Amino acid sequence: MKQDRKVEIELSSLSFLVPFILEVDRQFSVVWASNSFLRYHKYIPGKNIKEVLKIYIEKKELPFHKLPELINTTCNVVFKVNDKKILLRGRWLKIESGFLLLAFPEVTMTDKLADFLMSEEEAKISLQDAARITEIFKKRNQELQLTRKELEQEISRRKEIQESLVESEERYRDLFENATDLIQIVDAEGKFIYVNKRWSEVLGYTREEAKEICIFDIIHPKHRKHCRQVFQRVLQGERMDNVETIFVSKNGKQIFVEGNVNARFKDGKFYTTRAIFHDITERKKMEDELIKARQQALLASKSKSEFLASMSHEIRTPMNAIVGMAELLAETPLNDEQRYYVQIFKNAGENLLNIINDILDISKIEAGQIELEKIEFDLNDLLDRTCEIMAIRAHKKNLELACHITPDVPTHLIGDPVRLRQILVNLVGNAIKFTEQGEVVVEVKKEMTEGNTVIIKFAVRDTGIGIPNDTKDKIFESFTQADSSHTRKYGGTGLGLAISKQLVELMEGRIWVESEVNKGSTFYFTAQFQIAPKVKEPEVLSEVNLKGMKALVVDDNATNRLILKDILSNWGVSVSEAESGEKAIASLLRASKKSENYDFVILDCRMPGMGGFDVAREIKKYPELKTTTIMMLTSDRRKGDIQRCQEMNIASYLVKPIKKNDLKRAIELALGKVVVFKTMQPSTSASAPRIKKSSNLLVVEDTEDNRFLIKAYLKGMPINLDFAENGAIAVEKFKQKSYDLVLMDVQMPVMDGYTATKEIRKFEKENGTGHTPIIALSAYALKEEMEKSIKAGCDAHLTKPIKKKVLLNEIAKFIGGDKNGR
Amino acid sequence: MADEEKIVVHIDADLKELIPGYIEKRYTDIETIRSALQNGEYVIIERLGHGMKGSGGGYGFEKITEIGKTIELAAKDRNAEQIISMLEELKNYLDRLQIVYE
Repeated sequence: MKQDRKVEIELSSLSFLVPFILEVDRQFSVVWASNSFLRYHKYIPGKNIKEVLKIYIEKKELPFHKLPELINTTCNVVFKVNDKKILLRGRWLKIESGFLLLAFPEVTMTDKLADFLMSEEEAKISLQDAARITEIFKKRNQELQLTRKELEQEISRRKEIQESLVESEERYRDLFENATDLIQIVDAEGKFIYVNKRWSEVLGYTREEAKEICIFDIIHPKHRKHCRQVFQRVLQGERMDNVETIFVSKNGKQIFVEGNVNARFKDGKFYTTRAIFHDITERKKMEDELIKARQQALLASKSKSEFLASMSHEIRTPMNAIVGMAELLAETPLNDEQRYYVQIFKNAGENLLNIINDILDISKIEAGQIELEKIEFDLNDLLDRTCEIMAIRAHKKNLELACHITPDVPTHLIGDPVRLRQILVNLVGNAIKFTEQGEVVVEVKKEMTEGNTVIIKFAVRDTGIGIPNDTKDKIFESFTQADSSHTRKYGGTGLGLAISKQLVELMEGRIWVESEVNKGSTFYFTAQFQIAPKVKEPEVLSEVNLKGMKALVVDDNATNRLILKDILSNWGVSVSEAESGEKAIASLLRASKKSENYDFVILDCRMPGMGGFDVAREIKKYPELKTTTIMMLTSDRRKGDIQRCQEMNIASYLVKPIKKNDLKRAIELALGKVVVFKTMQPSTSASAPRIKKSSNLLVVEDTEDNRFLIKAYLKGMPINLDFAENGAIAVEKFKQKSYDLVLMDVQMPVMDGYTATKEIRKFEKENGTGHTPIIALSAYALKEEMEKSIKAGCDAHLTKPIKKKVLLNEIAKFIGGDKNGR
Repeated sequence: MADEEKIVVHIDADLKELIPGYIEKRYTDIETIRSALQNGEYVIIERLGHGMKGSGGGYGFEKITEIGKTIELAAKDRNAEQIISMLEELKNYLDRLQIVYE
């Protein structure tokens, strides 16, 4: 019965009991086999399953390498043992080390059922098998779980990446889209793949339109060739920075752009080019304007410097006549009065010249026109000469002027002696001007030497009024003095220190002042010079006798020739004239033929046609004229002239107006026989002027103090004084009485001096009373003020405060008595 | 002290009679300017400065001309501070004056 029941069991349920389990590695070698296999084939572990198994899917045999594809699919497996085949049905599972077959026998009616049933012992073994399987699965499960965890992590990581990618892409798209630069992405043919909003706005093509055109369509024709080259280079992987080109918009507008282009590669193959351009049209415009402005500025500067040069020439030429004529006039027999006038005329000329020089200098400096000469000079000599001249001024004020140079200072230098002298004259002049008693001392010391460069420190010390601390820095600025209270008192343009400062800076030095109010000031400056290679032996000084010498004066200006001729003739020189370079050469050659060579030629530098340098060059061509000394005379000291003179062996270089003493010295120097300096005597001050007796004088002055003052000054003079407190009263008084002279203050209440003068002139004209001299008095020394008073009808102009001597002299000019003091 | 040192000025003997009056008037000017300053009457100050400028040097007081000039300009600029400092300078100068007639 028991046996029967056994028979009745469903075969399929029985099969459950005998599982065929096989573990193989990746090479399909059997690692382990369940007991069911071992029962048939004891040696199956170690064998390759290809030898014992065949796999079928729907009756089709499958090669083993396709096994991975069968994972988890139900398939048929035939197990061959000797000649016996056992049909199994099951699944291949993937495990870590390989594969696991889990199969059950397909029991057919022909099989001996007993073969598949397990004995009790076999069941035990089977349990062990199951434990092993469980273990395998457990392990696999763990692995799977781990893998799953990893996978999950991986997934979430990717998700994050993707999110950030999306975000970043959006960000970049946004950046690209809203950038103020033009951004374009172009393919290998130059077709636009992407253009940003700005691009579209600037170039006027919509994005759809952009896709229809190519990069070269928007490039200015003249740049296309170049851009193709650039594009080629980009295709080869070069990044192009700072590409500048011109785009042309849809409506033909030119857009200047600058930017960079680079290619993008994908898998080593060219993908696209991306270009970012910046619209620089505005900048270009500005650049163009700047260039234009610069050209204009250069032009302006050039014309300014030309203007300055010609102004300088134009002003100096008449000044030359004025100063020269005054000197000549002073030589003629004159009475005291005339001598006095000439002196004033001469002084005024010199003052004017100084002012003009200052103004021209500062203009030149401001126009950057001043460059220093580099010529050899002797510092000792320069200091001597400067102090010698300045001493005259100092002595007039009973001041001592001393100069001290320490022995270690190199004195044979290369630099600009004229400019150095100008600085010294200025500082010493100021020192004298602002010092009432005591001394002015010039000290020269060596600051340092390096190679053949020397820095020399000059100090000009005075015992004058000093400078308050708060104005110490300002005094070196242009026009500063013109606004300070000093100008009226001390005169001057106030440009001297500004010029000196600029010159010192050109000499790579600096200028500063130390001062104590009422104790004195010391102006310091340093300047850099080259030390001249060879020290010339100082020439033996002896006075030259010019008597009997022959000279040729070459100048196109007749006045100049006259002045030179007169001066030279006075020294006993026999003078010939030539009005042009050509005539000069002819004259020189003629004289040479007669063996009557000229001793020296004075050449005007700037003449129409053949200039001074041309003439000099020509003279040098003739060996027979070798003995003739050439001297150059110019109205404008131009850069390089002195150097040219040295190069051409021209003996001297003089700047107009010609001063007699300078000329004499220059001739003596030029003739190589240097001079003993003669100290010039200051002109003796004119004795108290004589005044016509019983003159009637009307003094128009609103300030009581000044009325008193004038009264006091004129006390003891044979003058009847009337006073008027303003212009209106003056005009009334003038109408009632005949006056010999009127002193007219210009600034007064009620009616000012100008108006009063005009009224008086009108009255004279209407009544035919003749011209009464009027001397204007004003607190302004400005040229405009003087002009204004002269224009109003005044005969002269005096600046307040009025000095006794000045007033008396001025009065004497108009109502002076004759020589006999009648 | 330096401030107490006398300032010696040489003046033309012809002006001897005028000088005390002139100096006295400058002291008056100082007071006038002070009160004008309080009332903001710069026109008065400017005129007085102008007067000093025009007369000082004539008498031999260069310093007064100088101060007058500064006062005139300062009045134009409405620069009270500078005017006050000039007044002090003027007073100091006047106080220390020692005149030598020659």
